[in-house]
Amino acid sequence: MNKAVFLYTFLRLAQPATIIKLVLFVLAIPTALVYPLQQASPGVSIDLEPLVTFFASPVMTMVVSFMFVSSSIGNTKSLDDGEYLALLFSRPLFRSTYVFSKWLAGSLLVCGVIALQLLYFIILLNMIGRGAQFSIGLTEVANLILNAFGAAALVVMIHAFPAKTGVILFAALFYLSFAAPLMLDIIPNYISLGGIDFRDTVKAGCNILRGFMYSPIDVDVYLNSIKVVWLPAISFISNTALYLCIAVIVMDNREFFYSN
Amino acid sequence: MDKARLTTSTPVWLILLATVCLGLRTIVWAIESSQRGEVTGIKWNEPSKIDLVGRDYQSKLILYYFTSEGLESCKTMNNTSLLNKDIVKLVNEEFLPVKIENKQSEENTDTGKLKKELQQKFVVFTFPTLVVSLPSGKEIETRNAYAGVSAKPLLRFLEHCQRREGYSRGLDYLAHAKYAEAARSFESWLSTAGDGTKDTIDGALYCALSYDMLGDNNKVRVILDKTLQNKRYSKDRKWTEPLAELLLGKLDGEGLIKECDRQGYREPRVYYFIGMLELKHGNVAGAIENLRLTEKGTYTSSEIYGLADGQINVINQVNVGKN
Repeated sequence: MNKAVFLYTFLRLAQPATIIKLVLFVLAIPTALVYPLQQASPGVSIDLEPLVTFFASPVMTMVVSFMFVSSSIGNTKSLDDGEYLALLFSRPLFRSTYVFSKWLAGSLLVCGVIALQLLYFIILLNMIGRGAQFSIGLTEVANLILNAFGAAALVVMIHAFPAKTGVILFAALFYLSFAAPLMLDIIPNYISLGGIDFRDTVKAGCNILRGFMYSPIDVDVYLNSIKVVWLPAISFISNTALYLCIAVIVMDNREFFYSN
Repeated sequence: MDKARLTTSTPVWLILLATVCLGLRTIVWAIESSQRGEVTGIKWNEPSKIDLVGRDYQSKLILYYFTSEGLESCKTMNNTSLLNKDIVKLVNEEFLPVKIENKQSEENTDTGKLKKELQQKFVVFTFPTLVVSLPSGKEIETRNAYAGVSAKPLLRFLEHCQRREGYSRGLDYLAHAKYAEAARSFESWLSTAGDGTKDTIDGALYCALSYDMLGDNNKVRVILDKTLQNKRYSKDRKWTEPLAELLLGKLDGEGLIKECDRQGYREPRVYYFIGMLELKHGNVAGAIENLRLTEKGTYTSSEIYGLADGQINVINQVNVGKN
């Protein structure tokens, strides 16, 4: 890991537009969630557990990663004569080190943003006298941290590609893994490829892609299961390693090494 | 040049790790796919092998698990949340678990037809979907788990269904005009539901209505007084107060409709409550007219429509009996 790249990733957030986005994001969701709770009579007890699941959900880590980590990875900054260096290093830097530093910083950033949001939510709950009804378990914290590392690795991989390629790649992966299987359900199944069901074959392909795009981990499965199923854990590690590996290979093959 | 090559070397250990993990993933996936169905924490029943129609009213709740062979999200659910110790214990002890697996090979068989009927009955379009119903077949709650559902939310869903059982039984009795049973079910449910559940206010109103139909005004007052003190959200006030005033005799049907118009919306339940009170006062034609209007509210509500439809059926049966 390189300290300069690591710290510069956080420094990148110190721009007015990003700070405004960050403040709005941290404040908006908890405020919207607390508002209806404030309307309830003081004696009424409300189940707040679903909200813990909501904040620590893999989808939340994914959203935060795309919102805040993507802007701090090496996007292409094109001038007429090609790409340029936004940050100059006095010593040569391994591109793998660059990728790992960005990944680590990005993961901590995701955890930090969600932790800030949770903190603000807990403060609001205490203000309306419902703080005691909200508690976060160790498994939720572990899930949050692990899924933040997974989501940040995906974002690092997508943004290791030149900007346009990265966006197209992400859009294509997202469409094929989530939207296409849903759309296939409404198309009549009349195409058969030598006895093989066309729709099922395409769906199976989409499922494999989805497994590559979205493979969150739930620690609870390994603590409270009657039989340990290893596939989700292996998929999670495999995806993270693969994302980072692709990111490094792509960075290795880009015309110029630049950083921001 | 040398330096440039140095900085672009991909770490061998990373390539190895990614390759080994990918290989391991494929092997584990192949092994786990071949073992599909062997791990049976939950003792699932086949729908064709149990009596789903003539079941005793007091027996266990039914948990239907609608799944489809070969679907990744179903496999994930089978291998994760459905193997959770707490869920396995709860389902085996407190529910009658019925697995409805969509299989192409069964498409034109009796079992396949039965499965399709159940899918249509509970309006299941995507897999996996979980439905909990009363032994009588009345649905309590449905949970679609297209993107998979992890253990904690699933456990919470099952516990919620258990807590809601008394409420659903009350609705079932009310739809069959069994007011005494409905009042008892709602009242016993209210005593354990606390004030924080989503249905507490509706349950209290239905309970008060059941007692009102039995002519027990004292009970109506006691239940409504308690309910009016505890409100979950501000919008509750809009519903609870006018309907409670109707049951307490402070408002009549016209007054209630005026109040709803003043608030800016009419709900199907307004007509249901007015219809029920018309019925209580012996105005059967007025009751049927209002009960039929439950379809025409601003918001559609299957719960209210089910109650109104049930009540109309009971009235018609009584009329047929008289003739």
